[in-house]
Amino acid sequence: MLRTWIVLIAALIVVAWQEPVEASADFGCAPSWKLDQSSATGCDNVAILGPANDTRVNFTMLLADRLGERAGFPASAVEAPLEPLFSWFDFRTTLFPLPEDRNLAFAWGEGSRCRSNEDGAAAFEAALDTARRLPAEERTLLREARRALRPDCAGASAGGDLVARAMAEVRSPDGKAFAAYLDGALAFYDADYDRAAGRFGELAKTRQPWLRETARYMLGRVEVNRAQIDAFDDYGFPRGPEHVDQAVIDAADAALRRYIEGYPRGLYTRSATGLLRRVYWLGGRTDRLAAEYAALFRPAVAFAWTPVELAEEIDDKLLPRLEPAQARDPLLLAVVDLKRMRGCEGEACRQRLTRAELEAQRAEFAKDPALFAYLRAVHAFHVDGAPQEALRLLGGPDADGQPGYLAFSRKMLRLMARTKLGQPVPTAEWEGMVGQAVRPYQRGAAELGLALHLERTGQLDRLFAPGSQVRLPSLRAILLTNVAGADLLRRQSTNAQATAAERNLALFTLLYKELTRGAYDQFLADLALVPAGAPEEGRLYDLVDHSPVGIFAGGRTAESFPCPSLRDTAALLARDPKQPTSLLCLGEFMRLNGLDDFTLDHQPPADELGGSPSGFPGSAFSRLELYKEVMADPKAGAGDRAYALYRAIHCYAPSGNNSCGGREVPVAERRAWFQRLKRDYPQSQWARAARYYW
Amino acid sequence: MGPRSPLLLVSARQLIVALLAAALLGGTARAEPVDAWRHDAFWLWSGVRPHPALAQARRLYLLQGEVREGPVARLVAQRPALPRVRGSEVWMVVRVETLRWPPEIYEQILTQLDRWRRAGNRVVGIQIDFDARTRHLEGYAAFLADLRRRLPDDCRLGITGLLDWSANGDPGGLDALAGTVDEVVLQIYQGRRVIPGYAAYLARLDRLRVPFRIGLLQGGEWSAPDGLESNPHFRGYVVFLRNSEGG
Repeated sequence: MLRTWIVLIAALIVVAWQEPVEASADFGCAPSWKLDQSSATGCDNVAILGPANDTRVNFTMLLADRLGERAGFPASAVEAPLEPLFSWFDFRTTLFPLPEDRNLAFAWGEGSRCRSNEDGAAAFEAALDTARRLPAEERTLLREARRALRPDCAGASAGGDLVARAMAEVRSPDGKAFAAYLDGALAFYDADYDRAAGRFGELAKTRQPWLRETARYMLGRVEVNRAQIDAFDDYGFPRGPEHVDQAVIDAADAALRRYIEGYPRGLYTRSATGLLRRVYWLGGRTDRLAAEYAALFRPAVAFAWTPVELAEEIDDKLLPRLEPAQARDPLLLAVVDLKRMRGCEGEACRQRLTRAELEAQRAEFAKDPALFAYLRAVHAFHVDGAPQEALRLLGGPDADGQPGYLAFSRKMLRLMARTKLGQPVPTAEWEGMVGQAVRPYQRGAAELGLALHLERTGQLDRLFAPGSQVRLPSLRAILLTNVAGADLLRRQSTNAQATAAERNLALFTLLYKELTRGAYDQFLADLALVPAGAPEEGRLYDLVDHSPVGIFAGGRTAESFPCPSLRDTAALLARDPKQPTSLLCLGEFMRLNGLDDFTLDHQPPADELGGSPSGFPGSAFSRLELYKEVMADPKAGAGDRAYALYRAIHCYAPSGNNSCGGREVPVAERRAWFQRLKRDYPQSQWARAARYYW
Repeated sequence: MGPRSPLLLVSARQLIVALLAAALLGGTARAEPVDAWRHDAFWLWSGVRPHPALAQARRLYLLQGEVREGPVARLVAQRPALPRVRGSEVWMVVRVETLRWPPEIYEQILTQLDRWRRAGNRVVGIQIDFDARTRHLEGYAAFLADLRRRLPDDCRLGITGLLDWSANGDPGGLDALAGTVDEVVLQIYQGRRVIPGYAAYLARLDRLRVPFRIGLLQGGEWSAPDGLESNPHFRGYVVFLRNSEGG
């Protein structure tokens, strides 16, 4: 349908999809597993209105509160479990799945006036079919000419000859009108805007209603495109309003308004309002642009846009230029304010929102005092670091049953502030937040808050008990791998109510830590828990879903240094934990199975989930430390000591970076190891094999 | 899809450190910040304001779109308008999140290529920028071979490469692509940071059999390792332009 393509042209979403430039060509980013976020990383968005969120996320949540189902927001939580921390793209596609895109010529969101050709042709044909006083042969010719017209806006259109023939051959008044329209369309696609405007102008009085309306709309589109002639640079990027002819902007503004006034509920009204925004953006008329957006957020207005697309458009086209005084609507102002509360460094801090500036906005928020109060509390919490003041500003507890994002954010911020102040928060309050999480992504935030609370108050058992409100595998995995003690890990390894992936992860963690923290007896006992046929193939970077527990039963244990099975090595170490050969064999197992400097030997920062002291005693494993121990052991045999030296030297191969974990040693010491290996064990195969140190 | 599992991400960071362990370090000159004015090949990403040094460009790598993961992958435009580059060679860059492309994406990319050319751009090739870090490289070679077959004969195929690739259990990872891709541009930075210890990785380039360029970050650190200039496969540099701080 014609309306759909017009929307695509009008939608100004094109570059809004991009990630921040800083993230380009990056390795991606890792979420920081906490609620108290202050820098915008792109992957730490959370369903609490706050400074670290992408402006589009904050905007969408506020718009959802204001317009709700009227703007098409889902009324309840989405079925699939949603992570607490998310990217904008995840968020926008969860809320509003992308419609099908079968356009073979253009990318999604690509701006080109030629996008409209196919739907335009269909609408033209439909209009031909309803024109009654059109001779049959003219109808046929016009239809063929329209079908033949194949523009793509990179050069001259195909099919111009047939259009010229139609212009020359049709005789009836309606036929001439249709032909003139066709010629106008051809000129429009070929960027001949004077001729296009002339043709469409001729149709102002035609008795064909579709032609009359469409031509008037096209007069606006012609001017919009004329305004774009020098608006983009050689690389396809906007050159800025100073390169745009303001007289053309005025003409486009007037032409579009003429259409909208004539057709307030017309075929193209929505498109025309979108194009109007584009004109204001091109012309740098930020005031007008802000007013256009503000008009869209009024609850009484039928909301004709996908909120997330609008969020992208505003983020890209309005926010970069918007001065706070131009915001026009508390919703926009709140988005700008929150952005200006982000954590900052150096020069950037001069842009940071001060308390006085915020207080001075009271009048702008007169119609939304709850939002204003919340912003003040966020400012106190994030900018001033004053949770007590934030609590005071948040006021008394909210009643239950307010499902919006602002109400949810207020409750969550209150709990965060109390936690930060060290006040005891009853677990039931956090659990209550999970119960109140109704809107998409709220549940993840509440689960993360509850998980942090249970971790920090030593209640992991409760977290893993049946009926626990912490259900997200990601959160449970972080706690199992970083904080859980042996008992809990053992229990989860065999817990029939846990998922298979979680049982595997618990068992993997249990066996790994027993083996590397000296609990050899328990390791031998717990080996029995490894199911027959358990996977040995490593997806070691993806333990949550694919823990290869089988490696403890059947992983590689020997290469050129002879070693027994891992079970035998563990049994020997159980008898004598310092036994040098067995220690070296433990190192071989770690080396050969890719477990160097492994995830399970690193904990998250103290303020993130999984950052509290581990319930599993012992320290991180490192092959380098193991070799140092063997080197220093006077009871170690010559062969063992030579191998320890050889392997320790190779921890730094081939770049001088230590890949074995543990305490770094300076290059002078590595040289000394090398010399010692050559001097003290000249007959050893390891001395002969060692050719460099790094 | 939500954020990847924490374990995955943590270990990815560790991988980089571990995998940088690559070759014996040659003596290197003092590192200097990369100055766009001293180069003639650039990446121009979306949202980066054109740098005046672009006037001297002889090769431009322009980000055209991004293949986004989803229930059905789609090509998302990253450039507000059709480029009209005069003079310089152009590579059309497609950033890729997933290799599971529906037929429409091939069609869209070939149409784009044609449109860019007809708009007067001298498009010599398509560059695929795929973050293969946490995904498997195996499928990538097959994907590229298939894409190669679909491209017109006069369109080259290039890729970007990350430092941890070939170290991921398969030292011949990049070499396996020889014959399929015409060039690899190896990035020595992540985000806005130059990867510490990049020189160690680069030292192994002696063994690479694919024509390669080194991707530098404007303003980032760079010192050429010994022997780079004489490497028979080394073709030069590409500078990733970025907006200056506070600009």
